[in-house]
Amino acid sequence: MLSSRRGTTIDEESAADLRLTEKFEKANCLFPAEVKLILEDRKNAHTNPESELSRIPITNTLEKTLAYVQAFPQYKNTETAREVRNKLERFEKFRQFEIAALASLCPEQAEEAKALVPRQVLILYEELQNVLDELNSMKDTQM
Amino acid sequence: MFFYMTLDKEIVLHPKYFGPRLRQALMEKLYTEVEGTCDGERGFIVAITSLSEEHLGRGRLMAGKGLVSYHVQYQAVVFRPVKGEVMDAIVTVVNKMGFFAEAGPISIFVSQVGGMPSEYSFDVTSNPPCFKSADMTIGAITVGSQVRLRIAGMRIDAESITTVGTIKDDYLGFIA
Repeated sequence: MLSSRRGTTIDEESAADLRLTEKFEKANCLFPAEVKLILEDRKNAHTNPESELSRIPITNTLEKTLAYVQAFPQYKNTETAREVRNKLERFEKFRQFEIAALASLCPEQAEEAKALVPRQVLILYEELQNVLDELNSMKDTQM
Repeated sequence: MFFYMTLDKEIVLHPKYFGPRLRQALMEKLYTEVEGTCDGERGFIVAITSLSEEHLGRGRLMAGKGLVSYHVQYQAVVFRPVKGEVMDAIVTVVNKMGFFAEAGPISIFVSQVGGMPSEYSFDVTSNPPCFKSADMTIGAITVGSQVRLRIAGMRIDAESITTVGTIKDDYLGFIA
């Protein structure tokens, strides 16, 4: 049975109240635009003969994941993705999971955000709506 | 959800690698043994980004074997679905029971019974088959459609994660 003696077990995990197993509690979460940058870098390193990663084959999982993060129009470039993360991290109330979920789902209304990413109980609607408006303005509108 | 984590692994090297390219051999072995694998507890390890050089200490000789074991610490992008999480996915298979959609390395099944709003019904006459509502007010779901779904349940095995999703709640369903 995959479980830790103390803390949340896998069966008790839930995004609804942000209960995650210990290892994931401490980890940083990434939204697809950030993952896209990392994976594209990795793929470029593979094709670059001078890189020490050139001899390591690209796995099917990586290809599939790269295709997935490229399929959803997100933020225009590295700077925009970084700005998005900075804007969200400025709110200390948001946990890592919420930051990544908001950045990837990019809801337009506070109502929608609360339905999709449940745990923002301590943030006011107006504050949340301001954040969402900023996020949406940075979204890449070229489909 | 994509996580950026620090993970550990024991890498065992055969003496034939003990030469000037030892570090390169160690790195290649780590990448080939770890990238692309799925561990029920940690999820799918999509890509390794770096190794912790300070932790790359001396190897330990395994008594009686001549092989050397290194304890390596590395940073990687991991994909692990969390129950209740909402994510976007692309539909790959549609049949009368429901549809399969892929998000990154995982495939999520959404059942017609319990996972979709009652307005949706399976249209076997269209090519390719799709799910659509009688009054066409909501988008038809077919192969290649993008949907926003919530992970309703997961079964975690030693080497794979099977997920079931739903599009029944507010703000979920057909995107494009």
